[in-house]
Amino acid sequence: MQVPDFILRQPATLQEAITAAQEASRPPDGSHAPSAPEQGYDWLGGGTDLLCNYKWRINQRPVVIALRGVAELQSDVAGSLAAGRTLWQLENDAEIQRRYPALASTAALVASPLIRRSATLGGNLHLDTRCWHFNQTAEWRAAHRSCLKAEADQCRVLPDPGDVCVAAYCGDLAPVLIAYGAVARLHGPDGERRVPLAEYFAGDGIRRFAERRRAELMVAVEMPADAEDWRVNYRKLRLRQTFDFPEGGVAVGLQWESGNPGVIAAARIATTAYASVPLLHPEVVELLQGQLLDQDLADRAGALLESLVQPMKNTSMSPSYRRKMARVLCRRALLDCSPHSSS
Amino acid sequence: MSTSRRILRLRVNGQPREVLARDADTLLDVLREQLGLTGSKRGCDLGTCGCCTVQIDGEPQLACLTLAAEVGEREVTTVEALRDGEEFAPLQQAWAAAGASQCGFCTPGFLMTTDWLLREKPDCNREQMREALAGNLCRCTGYVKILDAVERCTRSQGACPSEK
Repeated sequence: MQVPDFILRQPATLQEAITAAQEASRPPDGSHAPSAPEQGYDWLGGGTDLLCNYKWRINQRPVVIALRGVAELQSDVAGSLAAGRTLWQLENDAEIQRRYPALASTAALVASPLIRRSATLGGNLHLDTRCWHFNQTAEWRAAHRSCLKAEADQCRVLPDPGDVCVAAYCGDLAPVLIAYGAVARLHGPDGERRVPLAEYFAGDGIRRFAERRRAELMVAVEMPADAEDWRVNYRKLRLRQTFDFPEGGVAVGLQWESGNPGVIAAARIATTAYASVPLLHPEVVELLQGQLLDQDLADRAGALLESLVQPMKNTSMSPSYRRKMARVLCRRALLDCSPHSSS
Repeated sequence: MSTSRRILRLRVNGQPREVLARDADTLLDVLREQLGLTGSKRGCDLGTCGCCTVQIDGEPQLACLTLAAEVGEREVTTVEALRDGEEFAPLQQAWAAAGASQCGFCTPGFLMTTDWLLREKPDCNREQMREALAGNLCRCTGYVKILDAVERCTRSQGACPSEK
């Protein structure tokens, strides 16, 4: 399959990247009227998601801005991870393995080793949402006319969703970074701003970010100073042990009461693949806080999470199975955080 | 929209090569369609099967998801460079001896990943082989003979490519 034509921009600096995005989002008449943030261009990280969609003629843009050469995106500064780092680097970096072990082990669960050599941290966080009726060839979609997120005006997953898309967000790293309390560092024409990852994702399968601004990109993910104090674990449901996107994923972050390991002082629970954005679950957090982590508590937390998630019929596994597995994933992730667990 | 093209100066299998390519052309497009290096296969073309695996600066990469214009001055090595003149490399000979190819379509990708693996971990065990080769799919062999072939090339078996 040939990738459809586009103009490739290869900025060397952050400012050049932002300028390229501003130029690409200007209307053809040359006026400066603001356009939709992603109307005229796409950022290109590793390309392992974007180029697949382009080959299937899904939502391609006239301009692609490659970020591989942008120096500011390639190297970490103190306490933050550069958005251009590959997942292969994350999983094999001894410092990350020591300080954020769940991040390293989760990176190793993404796709395949070959994909991870190209795929980037920033790219994984911005992974496009997925759906049986969206991730199909142009010919398939033309025959079915069935996807709001592509060319059609109707959705096959829900009979009458209005203009809401229910495609699933399937990034593995987002829930784990949320469990660590990570913060996104964004850079755009108006300068830099920081948004907690827990607040970064919002909306539906098409409009997926809370306040995405024109020509803005993620530069790095900042890890909070206390991130190493959190015990984080991630469990992933998938068909095969390699390549597959999650059919469900649960990340758990726990902090113990001072001098009382095993009693939960604070908790974070985030899921992926169950909705169009990573979800936080304050109800489960409320159940866990102040409690001694044992089998019974883990069972109850899993049961509560199962009652909260509402997967759609748009991936390989059935929604009922994925929902039931939320209970299992949550229970296992919690018990693996236990002070007595070896993991 | 109009097609954007550029002249690319690549280094492929130790040789400088100059091609005129679209901005949107992948490295696999250029290798196969312009340079005639058809050893790298176009399988799924979506990064799943690993048939297109080449090495860029010695590291295995998917040519189908790498834009040719993004390769720059890095060294590209394809399966054609594995053999030494008329002789097949020890790795290729091991593949034949172990019966690790049936239809053979996946073989170039497996060879390029394995060549890297044996340089990195000449004493790799079967678990490490499975992990390293998890991005290469074979629909014929069931993988056992492929692992047998890799094992023949580990240092303990005396045919490690890095020591040839």
